[in-house]
Amino acid sequence: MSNLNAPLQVSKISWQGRLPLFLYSVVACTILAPSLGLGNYLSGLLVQAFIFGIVALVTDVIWGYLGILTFASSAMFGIGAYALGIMFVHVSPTLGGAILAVLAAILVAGLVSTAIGWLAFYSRAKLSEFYLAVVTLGASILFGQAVLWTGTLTGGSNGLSGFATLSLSNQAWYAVAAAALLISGSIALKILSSDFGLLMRAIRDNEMRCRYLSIKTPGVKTAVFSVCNSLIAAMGAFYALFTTVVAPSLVGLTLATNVLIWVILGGRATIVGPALAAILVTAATPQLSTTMPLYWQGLLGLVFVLGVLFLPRGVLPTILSAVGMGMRFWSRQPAAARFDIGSHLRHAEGTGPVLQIEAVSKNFGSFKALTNVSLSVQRGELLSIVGPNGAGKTSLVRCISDGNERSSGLIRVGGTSIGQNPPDCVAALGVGRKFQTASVFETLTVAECMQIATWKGKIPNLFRRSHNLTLAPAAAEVVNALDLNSVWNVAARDISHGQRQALELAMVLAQEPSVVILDEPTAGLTVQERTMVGEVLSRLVATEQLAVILIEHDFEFVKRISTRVVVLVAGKLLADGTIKEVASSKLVREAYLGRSYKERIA
Amino acid sequence: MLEHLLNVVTTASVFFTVSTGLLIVLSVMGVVNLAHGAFLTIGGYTAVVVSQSGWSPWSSLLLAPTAGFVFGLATELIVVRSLYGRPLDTILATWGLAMIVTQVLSDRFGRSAHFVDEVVSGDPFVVAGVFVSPYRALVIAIAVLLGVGLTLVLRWTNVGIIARAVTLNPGLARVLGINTGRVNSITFAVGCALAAFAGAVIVPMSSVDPNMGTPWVITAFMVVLAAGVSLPALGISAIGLAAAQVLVTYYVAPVIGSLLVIAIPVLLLRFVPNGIETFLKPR
Amino acid sequence: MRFFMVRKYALSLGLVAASAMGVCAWKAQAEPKEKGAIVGFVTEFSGNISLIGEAGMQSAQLAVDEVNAAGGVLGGKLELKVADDASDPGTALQVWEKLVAERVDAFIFRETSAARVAVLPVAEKANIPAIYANAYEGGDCRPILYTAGEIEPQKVAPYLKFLKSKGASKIFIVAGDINWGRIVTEMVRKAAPELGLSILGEEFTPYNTTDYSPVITKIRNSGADLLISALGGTPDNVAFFKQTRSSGLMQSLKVVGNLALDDTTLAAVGSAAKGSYMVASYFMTDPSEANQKYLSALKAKFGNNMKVPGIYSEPVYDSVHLYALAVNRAGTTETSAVLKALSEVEFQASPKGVIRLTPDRHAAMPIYIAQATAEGTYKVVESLGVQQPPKQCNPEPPFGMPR
Repeated sequence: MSNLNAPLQVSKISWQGRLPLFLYSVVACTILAPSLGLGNYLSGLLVQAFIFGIVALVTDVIWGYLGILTFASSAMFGIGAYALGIMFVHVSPTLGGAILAVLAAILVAGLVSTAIGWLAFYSRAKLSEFYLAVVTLGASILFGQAVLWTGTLTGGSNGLSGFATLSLSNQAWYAVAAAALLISGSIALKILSSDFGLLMRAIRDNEMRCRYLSIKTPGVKTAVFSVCNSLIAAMGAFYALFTTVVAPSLVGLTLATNVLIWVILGGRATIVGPALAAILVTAATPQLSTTMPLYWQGLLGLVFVLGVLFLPRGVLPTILSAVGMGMRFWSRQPAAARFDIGSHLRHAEGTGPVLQIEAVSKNFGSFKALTNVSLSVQRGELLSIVGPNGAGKTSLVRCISDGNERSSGLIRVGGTSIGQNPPDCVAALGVGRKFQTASVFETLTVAECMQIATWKGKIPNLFRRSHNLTLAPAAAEVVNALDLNSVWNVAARDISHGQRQALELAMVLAQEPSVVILDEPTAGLTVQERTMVGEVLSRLVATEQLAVILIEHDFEFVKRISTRVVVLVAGKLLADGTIKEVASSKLVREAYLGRSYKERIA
Repeated sequence: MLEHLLNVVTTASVFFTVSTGLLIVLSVMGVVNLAHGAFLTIGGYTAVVVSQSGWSPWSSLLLAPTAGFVFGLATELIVVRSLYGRPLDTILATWGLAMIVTQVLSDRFGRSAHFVDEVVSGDPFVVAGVFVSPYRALVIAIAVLLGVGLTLVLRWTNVGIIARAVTLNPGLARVLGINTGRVNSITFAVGCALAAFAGAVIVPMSSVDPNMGTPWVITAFMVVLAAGVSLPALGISAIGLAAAQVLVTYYVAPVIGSLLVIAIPVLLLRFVPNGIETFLKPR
Repeated sequence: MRFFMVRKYALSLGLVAASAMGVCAWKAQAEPKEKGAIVGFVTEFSGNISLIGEAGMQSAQLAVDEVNAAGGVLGGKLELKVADDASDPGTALQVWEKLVAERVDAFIFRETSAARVAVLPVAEKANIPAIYANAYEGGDCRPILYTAGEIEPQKVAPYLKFLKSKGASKIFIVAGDINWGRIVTEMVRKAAPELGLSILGEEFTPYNTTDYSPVITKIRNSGADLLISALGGTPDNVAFFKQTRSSGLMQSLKVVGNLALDDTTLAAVGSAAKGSYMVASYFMTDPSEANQKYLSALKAKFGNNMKVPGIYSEPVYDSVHLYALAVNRAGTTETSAVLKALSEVEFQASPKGVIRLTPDRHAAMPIYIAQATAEGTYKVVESLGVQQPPKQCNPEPPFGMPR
């Protein structure tokens, strides 16, 4: 996901290990204690406020952490509310019925979310970031209409409000709601400070990089989206159970936009902020609408505008940073760079070529970017692809790393065809790609970036944060050689350009690929850095039996380290051989320099 | 049959007129202006003021865009500019602004609907067995003029070229000396002026009340989404969606007809992510 | 050092939160009073349905002033608390609960049916009487509820008879896709055959429809000569009538009958609805002395800010007076006594004439039929006399503690 959705700034100060526990107990006391002395009215109001607080914090997980802008919260909430309403009005107004309704709501919400996820996350075409927002917007409106259609079941425009519900005192409901809020908040915070939380932030920062690190991001996004929406649906059922309000307006856009407003005001990616914002706004609403019935909506609008203008990170982070505290709820790696070096991975034996490109063509409409390119790369080769601009070098790289890119031809990695598979599958086959502009995770530290790479696409632990990092020898070599140790705990966007290139290279190598594609790795590097990279690459090719494909303009660099050079001009492979052969080829010279007048008229 | 065609063309004209402001702001600034509905309402209330002051109703067609331009400029300078580079926050701020505008108009004019003198009145005339009201003719004429005028401005004037440059590559435009800040202000103001103009145009067919812009925001948004960043595509999108709404409303049910305006862009974008303009680009 | 700083701030955050809640709690608990009474008036001032709320509020404020000028209730002042439900049942519920916590003695409300079914359980649980100051489709028989407006069953059949007498017989119904719209359409469908009317078409449009041209085409093509419009909400009514007039359909129909285009909304439609009929228990242009007194009182109090009253706001005036009369008659604000008294008192200064609620929880109403003029006002053309509502609650709800 692009930077559009990243929070503006993640403050850097960390909590000590004991602190979260202390904070939780303060919050727990504040929330649970008043249930003994809280009046009926306030208990009832806070039950609703806590329910919306949970909805807000779950939406923060989806949006603030994973970066998915969703308008579906109200539709999901409505699914829950209507499930419960239908159960209590038409079937069985008992606790058992309620549980059944909640389960049904969770199931339906999960299915609908999965369908939406399939629609929005799995498309091969490059959908706009807003596409999911648009789909969920449409879904909310459609659901609102559907509710009106099925009038006999859903009560039509009147809804199903006012049914007999379980009889509990408001204080008892309060205890349940408060417990639910604490539990959801704690679980959310725990998950977000785990490895899985790291994965979510990585996807938000740079989804494409994740895919090229073998992570099946559409699946992760859909799963998180579905689970969170199911929880929102459960909250809708809880709301209906308590208030007995089940009406089409619950399903409409008002709640969906309110939830997003709470998240922004409270502070995206803070969990606590959105929950607090939701609770405060919900609790204040009846007070406002009874004391200033004609003006309160305008006042709210003013608060939103001012909030967005002057508290860009949200109310909570701004307040906390003003009093000198940070907002990171997860613990950090200790200061020193610590990682183990793993053993050399024995690649699958086989003497076949590690990469086979057969008659690959790529067309953009009538423009032929690549025509009938065939190439075979063996282990231990350092192959450079050279050619003038627009020759199709990057197109070729794209075709190799993404099964959907080429228009025709076959590409095999280690004998297995990549078919039409997406980048994560191709990466899992052993293709590592380093982009021209260093593609890393901006808000994550160097250590965290490396950690993500070492997962090799496996979904990490949901609750625990691992502190041990084992790097493949190739990656470790890059880290040591290019001095990434010194910036181990620095956010990736704060390190130098050369270090970012090194970081990306290390990340790619941490996957232990069998073929690594580097797109202009020396761009913007100093002479020293260039030399070091060259040395590292040569060494890796020799000792690790890697295959490296290099796209480079720096001919000196190419000459120094390549074992083989391939020339691409206007989409066609023009020459393929050692440096000497290629450099002395007349064709190549002509392609680069053109023919002299004399040669032309000769 | 002819009557259906006329209905489609009229509805398409309204869709087009209402959406141009949103398109211009989106294409040049990349910003979704959720206060679009509020500016539409401002245009409608300009007509109320004109009507209450006893001026000629035609003047509302001039005064509305003027009011829209002035308020739009103020909005851009105070709110939107501070949120440059934060498109999601801009969405939220413009939403809050819409609430404020609704409040201010409710205070000043009251919450009920208003009566407004019409720009053109009189009974419809019959053409080839079809009733054509003067208002419909006006709406269609306005939409066509708007489309042609904007296209000419964008293609043949300096202003237009600058706007297109900033759309395609703001960084480069800035480097070439174009004052992108000023372009953005003017673009936003023009977008709001167009919205207000549309508000004045739709007065004879709709209720003039503080919420009058709300149903149009969603419609305009959907028409623009389906179109992509291109004025001719907007025309096609408007015609397509209007046809869907009108014909399905007639032959099936109004509820389904109005839902299609939402469902079609959502489905379309799944397979054609950049909207209708993809089909208009030369290969 | 850092640890202690953080603990201090966490603690202060907790204290702030607790004291905020404490303040809210304190504000919520109002003191009980010995004389006078508090009425909570809830309607919509924001959201979809917000266009007619202000007229109701003015009627409420005027009535409260008049009650207090005539001596108040139980030797004290009648106090009015006004609240906005934002056109949303969820907010409505919270608002009602707040008013209950503020110890209102009664609710008078003009809210949508969706809100009504959501909020009345609050009044039931708190055992507080509520008066629904709205015209609606009928059928709500809760013990604590009275309806001071007319219900459709009082109007639809005689209205159809009248419309038929104007020379039309082929009906096309355009209704809003809401429960009220569907119920009214059902009533028309039931009443039509015995009156010799045929229904050539029905169309349900979603709320906030902006373009009625295909519906208008459909009406034209159906060959109907009697259009019945049951659209809910001001925006839809205004848009529909403006478009119907400018498309020429209005002129080509024999008779057009409305069911929800009240005075307030007609003022915005202007001459476009000229000639169409409306049936209601109250029209602003009613020349009766009682109504003129009401109108001049409104004008005197609100001057240029006066909102046009109509059937969705005038009942608020009646409700406040009825409640004051009932409390004074019962000698207490205690609910079962007040509920009983409400069925026994008569409000004789109503702009409608004499208004009386019945133990059946609904009221007999004078029903008038008016025709829209070119000036955007209604002119009463026929009086159908006082129409009793058909029995809604059988058996009649008790006056005591419900359920």
